[in-house]
Amino acid sequence: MSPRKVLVADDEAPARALLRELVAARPRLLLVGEAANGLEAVELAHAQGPELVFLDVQMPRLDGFEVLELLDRRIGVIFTTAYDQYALRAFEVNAVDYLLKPFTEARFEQALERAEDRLGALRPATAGALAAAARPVGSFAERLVIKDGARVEILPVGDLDYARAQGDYVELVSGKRSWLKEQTLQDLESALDPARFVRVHRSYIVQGSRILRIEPASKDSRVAVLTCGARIPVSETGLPRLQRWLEQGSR
Amino acid sequence: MHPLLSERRALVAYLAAWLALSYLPASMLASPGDGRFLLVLAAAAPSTLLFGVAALPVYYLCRAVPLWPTGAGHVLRVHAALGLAWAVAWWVLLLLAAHLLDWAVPGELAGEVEQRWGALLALGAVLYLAVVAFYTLVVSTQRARALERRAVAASLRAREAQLSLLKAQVHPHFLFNSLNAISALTVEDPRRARELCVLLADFLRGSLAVGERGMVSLDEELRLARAYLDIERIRLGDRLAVDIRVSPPAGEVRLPALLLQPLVENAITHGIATCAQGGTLSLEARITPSMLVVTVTNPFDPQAPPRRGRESGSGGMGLTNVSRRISTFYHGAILTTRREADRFTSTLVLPLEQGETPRGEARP
Repeated sequence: MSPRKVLVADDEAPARALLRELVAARPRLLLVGEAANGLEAVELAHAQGPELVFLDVQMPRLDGFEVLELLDRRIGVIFTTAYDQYALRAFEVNAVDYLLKPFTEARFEQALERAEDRLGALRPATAGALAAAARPVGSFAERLVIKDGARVEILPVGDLDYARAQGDYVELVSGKRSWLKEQTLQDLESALDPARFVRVHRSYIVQGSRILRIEPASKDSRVAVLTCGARIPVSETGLPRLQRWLEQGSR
Repeated sequence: MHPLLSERRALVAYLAAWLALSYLPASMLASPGDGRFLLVLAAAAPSTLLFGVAALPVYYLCRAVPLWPTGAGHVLRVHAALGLAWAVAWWVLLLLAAHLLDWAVPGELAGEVEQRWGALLALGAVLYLAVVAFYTLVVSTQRARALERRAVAASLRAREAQLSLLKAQVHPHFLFNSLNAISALTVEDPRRARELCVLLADFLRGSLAVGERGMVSLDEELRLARAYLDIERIRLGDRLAVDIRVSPPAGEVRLPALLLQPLVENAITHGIATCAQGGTLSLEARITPSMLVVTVTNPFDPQAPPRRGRESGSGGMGLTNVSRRISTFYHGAILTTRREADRFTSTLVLPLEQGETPRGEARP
């Protein structure tokens, strides 16, 4: 049996050293990379294809939950952090285990056993569901993270003009640029602040402040014209929602 | 609050007592065995009762100018004058009632009241003084109780302040991450692990003594900050550089213990720790003729991941604590913060005179 490929991501050198030492002591594990921030973690995971990632929560660039959102769903994730308040959320996002720093070697071993049981199994949740679970209750996403091959894009929600459902993906549009993200429009809608975004159509969410005007498109359909020039269809159920949003905005 | 007016039962008992007290003037005007005694009692009762009602506001006088423990001569004179007026008014009422009785049931009661004016006035004065004594007792008891309550509340507040200060100082995640670093270093670099243990102990000792230490010199405060930064440097490695500059006389200025610590911690947790490349924390302290100026500058990543959960804004909490503390210690101290593209600066300005002779911290 070939050894399991392991990636370690933590912004503190001593914490990485500890995991390096624990991994090196086990022939069934093979350390394939050490990342000092979230972005490096995603890039290394893309390049090295680890089966198991030890992931700190608070890191520069991308935090642990954002990294998890961008990782292949087959990779097992063990969170390592000093914050116990993340524990519940970690399990909601289908992490294999959650190591509270500092931890014993026995506890580390236990996490590995759990990982063995789960390895290879697809994490059931999609990226969007992960993002939702990782957010504190009652708060909304401030930015969206998107993986485009090896590249990671960070899109502040203020830059998002609109989003369109595309099968299992959503297309996120900002000006002339657009990205595909594996997420349902439903999940994206629940992540966005309803005071700023409005679902105008089964397949569209629009940032309300980008709407220039609403025009009739045919006898009984309308389109919203955005500042970027895009014409977004407004459905029969979307229209009253849009009107409600406009009323709230003008207040 | 009036002890009698606020409770119906007490008021009823009080008025009943005054009715009973009308026995005293009645017995002075007729002997209890006399057939007219009950009539005399009936004539004395309304005026005595009225006298009792009129004595109710004396409570407010006793509360406004307490006879005891301040017991000044002018207070006594006020009560003497009022008591005399009260007694005269009562006597006049009594006389009116006697005339009324004499008219209804012919007799000599009015003459009796006129004749015994001295004894009746004295009785009135004694009754008034009894009222004053009663209210003085009530007021001083109320006062003692209120003082006690206030003392308890103050000590509770002081303890709360100390606790929240402690909690703000020693962040659990800082502690746990440091312990994790020690746990990591024990194999790789045991000497470093031991060093980190000692630094952590120094830092904790300094932080936990915050309640007892009160005022410390800037140099002492910076010693603690250095212990903290040394720990952070082991954790963050070469991502953290520190540049502390203190103009020599500034080091001797005394300030409330741990006042700077939140500024330093904020610069790390919300600043340098968010930067993948790290950066330099600069701390500069200088004095002008009238004030001490401490400036802490650090880089931060404007695109850092948003903070999740409870710890979000804990840096803000730290700075709020500093603002609150300087406002209780000083007149005219200021904490300002400035956020530029990727630099954060906090500046603390403490006035020197008050700084050297502070008003003192609330003691538990």
